[in-house]
Amino acid sequence: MTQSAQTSRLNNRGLIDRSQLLDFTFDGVPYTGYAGDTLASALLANGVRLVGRSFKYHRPRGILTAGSEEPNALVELRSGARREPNTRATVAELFGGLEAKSQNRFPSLSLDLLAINGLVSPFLSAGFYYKTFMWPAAFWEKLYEPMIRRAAGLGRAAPEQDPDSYDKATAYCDVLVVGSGPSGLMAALSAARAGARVILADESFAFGGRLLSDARTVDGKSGADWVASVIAELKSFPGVKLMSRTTVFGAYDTGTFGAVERVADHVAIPAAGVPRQRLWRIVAKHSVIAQGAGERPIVFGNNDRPGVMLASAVRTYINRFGVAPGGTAVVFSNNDEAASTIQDLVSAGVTVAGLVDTRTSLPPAIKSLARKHGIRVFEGAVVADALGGSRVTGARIIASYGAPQTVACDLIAVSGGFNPNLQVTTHQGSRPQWRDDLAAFVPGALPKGMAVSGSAKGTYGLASCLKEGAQVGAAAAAAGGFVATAAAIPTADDEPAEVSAFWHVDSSKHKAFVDQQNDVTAADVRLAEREGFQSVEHLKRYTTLGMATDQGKTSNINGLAMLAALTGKTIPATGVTAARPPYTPVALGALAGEHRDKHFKPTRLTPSHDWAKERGAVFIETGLWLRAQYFPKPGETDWLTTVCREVSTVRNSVGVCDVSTLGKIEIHGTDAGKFLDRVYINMMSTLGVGKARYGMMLREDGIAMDDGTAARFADDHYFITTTTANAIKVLQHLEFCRQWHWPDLDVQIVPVSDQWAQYSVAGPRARDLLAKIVDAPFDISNAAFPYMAVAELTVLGGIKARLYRLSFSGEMAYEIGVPARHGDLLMRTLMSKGEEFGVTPYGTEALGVMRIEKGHVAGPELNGTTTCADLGLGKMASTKKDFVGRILSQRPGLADPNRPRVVGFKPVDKSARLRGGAHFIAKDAEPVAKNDLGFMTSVAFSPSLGHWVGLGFLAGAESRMGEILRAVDPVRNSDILVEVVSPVFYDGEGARLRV
Amino acid sequence: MRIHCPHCGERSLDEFSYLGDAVVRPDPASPNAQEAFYTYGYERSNVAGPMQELWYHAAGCHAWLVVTRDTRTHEILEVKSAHEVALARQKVAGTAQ
Amino acid sequence: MSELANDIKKASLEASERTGLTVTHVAARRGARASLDDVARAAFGVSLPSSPKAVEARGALIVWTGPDQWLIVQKDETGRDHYAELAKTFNGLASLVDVTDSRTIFRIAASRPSETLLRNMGIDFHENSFQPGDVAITHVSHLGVIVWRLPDGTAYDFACARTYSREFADWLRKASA
Ligand SMILES: [Zn+2]
Repeated sequence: MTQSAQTSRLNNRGLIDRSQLLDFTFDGVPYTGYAGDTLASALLANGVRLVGRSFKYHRPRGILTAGSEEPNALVELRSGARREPNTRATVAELFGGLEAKSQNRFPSLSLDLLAINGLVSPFLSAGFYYKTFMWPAAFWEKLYEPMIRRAAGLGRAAPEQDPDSYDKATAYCDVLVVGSGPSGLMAALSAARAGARVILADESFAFGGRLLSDARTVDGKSGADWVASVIAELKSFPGVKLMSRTTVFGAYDTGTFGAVERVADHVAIPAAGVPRQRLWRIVAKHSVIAQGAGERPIVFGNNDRPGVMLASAVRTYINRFGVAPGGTAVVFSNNDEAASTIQDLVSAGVTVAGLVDTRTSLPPAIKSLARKHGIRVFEGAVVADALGGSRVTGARIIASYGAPQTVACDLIAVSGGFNPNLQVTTHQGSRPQWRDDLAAFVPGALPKGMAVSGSAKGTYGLASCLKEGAQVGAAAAAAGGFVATAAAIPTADDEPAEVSAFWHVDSSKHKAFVDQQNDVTAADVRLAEREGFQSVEHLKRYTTLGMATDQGKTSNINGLAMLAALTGKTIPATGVTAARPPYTPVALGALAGEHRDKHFKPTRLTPSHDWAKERGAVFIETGLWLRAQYFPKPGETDWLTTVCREVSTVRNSVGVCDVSTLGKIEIHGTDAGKFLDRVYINMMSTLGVGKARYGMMLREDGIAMDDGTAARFADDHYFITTTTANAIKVLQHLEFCRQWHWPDLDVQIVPVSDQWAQYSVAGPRARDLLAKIVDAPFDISNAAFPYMAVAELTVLGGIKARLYRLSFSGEMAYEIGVPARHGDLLMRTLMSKGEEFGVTPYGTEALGVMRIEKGHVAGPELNGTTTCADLGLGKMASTKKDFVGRILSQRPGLADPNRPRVVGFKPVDKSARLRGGAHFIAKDAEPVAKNDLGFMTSVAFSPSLGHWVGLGFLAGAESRMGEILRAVDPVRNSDILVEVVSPVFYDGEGARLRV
Repeated sequence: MRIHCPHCGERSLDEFSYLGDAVVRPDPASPNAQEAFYTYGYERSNVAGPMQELWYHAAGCHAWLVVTRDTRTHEILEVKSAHEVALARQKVAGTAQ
Repeated sequence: MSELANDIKKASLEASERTGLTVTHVAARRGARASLDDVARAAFGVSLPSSPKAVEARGALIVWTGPDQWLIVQKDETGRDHYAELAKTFNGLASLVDVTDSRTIFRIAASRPSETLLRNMGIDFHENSFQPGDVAITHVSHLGVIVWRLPDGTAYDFACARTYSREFADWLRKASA
């Protein structure tokens, strides 16, 4: 049983589908509405006027508008994880089962204890943050902020993860038409008939814009019928894409637009596989902005009371939704649209108790209309205050003549004229222009390819809008190379649209709101001006006017007009603040699209991934890669046990590690050697065919960029590796050098990182293991294939392979590469053939331990601030040639011998643990910044030595060898003594490499 | 923003990465090389108006591009292959010698 | 990759993974472009495309992949080593790299893109914009891809880096729905 039976619904009126009755709840109370309703229209149909409490003062608020500019009627939709705060009831499409809640009230909407904020409102006036919370600072965190957060604010975000999916999409067109009112429809029609690819987007669920809201006829049909006929024709063109429920929220450079399509916001739960919303990037050769105009309110006392409504919204609720938004109305206006409002109200059976017009002399047509319906007319008059609390009960009217009068009413239909919706035209920096005759800003210079049409341009009459749309649409298509003529203009009248600028009633007794969403009053604007915030940008920031989620659509112009009057400047001289995307709020979920959770970034899998997974590897994300970190055996319960076992096995027998993540690049061409000489600090042109060499690259500023190896397979063919992390960066750098620095060199660069499955086979039994898989007649003996040799060969009976005698672990070791599709087979074969040696797979953890034991620098040392001298590799730099980074690495600051250098550290107490990030301090010095000597970059427990070892940068390293220092880690509360030693902890002579 | 790659055609900004002022690496053999490289590395132009910049078609053909862009409006006035610009530069330098 | 093939089958797409191919990267040596074209014409009867196009000739698909660079995609034949043959043909005029295993190539057999594919591609994939024989090197959902429409207009091939192929198959599943 429903609470009320749509008592304010009009019979036989509106574009709702009365055959589809929909149940919904508001604050737990059940109601009904119809398909085609918004939440706002359905609430009004049920006589619900009070829908929320305001941001600062907790004042009762109702429904001001019928569109996306709504500042007041913000509600929470749905519940649980799908709860969405701050949704405008005026655009939320009604669906069966919709749960809506008012927000920002405590404990209930009708009894809000925090409305007391209104009583202490002097405290909350303009600039209150700046004035009140300066001192004492501690009060901010402890008192003010929590209190304000409780008292002021909007809705609550759902704490759970959003269960719905979001999508991103791209669309291309010749002509994008934004807005489907009379002008937009004609533009789309003209462009479509010319054969252009057209996208017509409208933020509403129904096309037609104001044609659905106003009781007008086009070509002798009702607005809605005419819209239906145009949409039907547009649908017949294969190149036309109609996008309802789609807000074009931003215009970006070169004809790129952002739009959000509410694919499934109008159902309780999206169907399987259907995203809730879709973020579109629309690339348009030409665009027609036809977003219409928004009515602006007039600022008067209590103008925020539920029952004060924009006149155009009143007409929309009557004509489109078949709802009478009140029983007795007062119309307060400064323009000719009042006539339409009166006609619609009268036809809906609403008593019109008065027409209050700021103009001293009304057009005869309006006067005779009022006379015909027995409506009292107040010329040269204002509504000074609305009466009533949680709903309007009357209007206090002051005319230039006579005493103030009170007229009873429950609806005040207010119109202060129209502002073209030009926000999108200014997103790229163009400034709107003031037009005195319209008392409004219109679009200024437009970005290339963009046109504006209809009310958005300040062309208000219906007939004029239709005509302009047809012309602008045809012109857009013609500019795109189509033969286009403007579609025939349907017949319609131009309604009178005279307006007399009027912004704000001075004689109000009560609080008069300029920005209803941010609770900025006329008094705040005056205060700001008095305190010197006389620029429109200062006004905005000091009062927060226009800074709410509606970006001040109903408030900015009133605010700046008031400021202009206070400063004695004209409105154009006062200027407007910039509108920036998004035009209306966009859910973060839509911006993220599918890129969340597992798909936040793509995952790269190594060729041995499936095998490693079977083997029970623990994986770690390194950049985009998922790599095996270690391979626990049954019974191994902590990672250190596993890693120590892996290291020991490599040091004593043999282990295999997937190093396919290394960047791999083929360098070809007759100048390949010359080219590599210029990008590496050391000589590569002298490298013999069949040999490999370690190499270091610098950035042009002299800082180390990346290290790796270069192998030479022929005079004109090298193969180089980069670190996993820098693969893309190095490729980009090499292409830069080739294309921009040395375009005349014969060099070809081919990235082949994914081509090769590459495994390190390391340990004293590595050769024995490999001997089992290399095809005859390849001679793998130490004599034939010594340390740093490379060769192309076949393995496992004919698989093309490359073998490199390289070692990162310090053991006799090889890297073997096979085409990636054979990677799985090769790994499995190495494991089975290595069983007799007790082969172990090892992961990144053991890899790291062994490189630290050997003192090899890696990512923590190549950290973007270190030179090759800092890394202990200064002697590698050739003096016989130029290379990238050479000149600037000689700068005094970088060449300073006292710069911290890489050295090794071991704990004095062998059981002590080292900490990466610890700072070095002389033994007897205070651990303060000025005594800092450097810091630890890499640490590991060395199973080979039985204690922790570390690498780090130390100032004056050479003279400190053997010294005992403090390693202080205040973050983890560690302060231990360490000895400065050589960075090579294991096999200092490198004897194990060459056996 | 859209950039017209001379090789691939018009593509969205997210396919490109930006380096900056399209300056030329100084001659490392010149007597004032230190000074010249310092200027090259650190004293880049950042004009308000049309500027020649280096861009990389990272997600496309891997070509470096010389893009003439008005930094005030983001209007792109010209896009050339950096390789061809560099070759032409060398040719001019060669003729001058 | 059999897991991948299964995934695709489950999604009941018109998409399949192409196997049994040799893919060779060809990069012109500096100054050798004209002679390279002569040799290509003699070997394949066509010039190497200078713009993002794919041409089919004598069993090979020649795909432009950048200035003076191409992929030559050939079906494996018993007893033939395509890479070795090409290396011989283009000797001294181009640098050749066997990149057969660098990418996974998926085929969507369709004469025009579905709505989903259209909106999931970042480039203009409309059948009139991306025509038979057109090639694009681009990215989709952070994944690099080379896509070409077969010169006869019967299918689209997507070549993505091998180590991303499962991620790409996910995308393809969604985009081809
Ligand atoms: Zn390109």
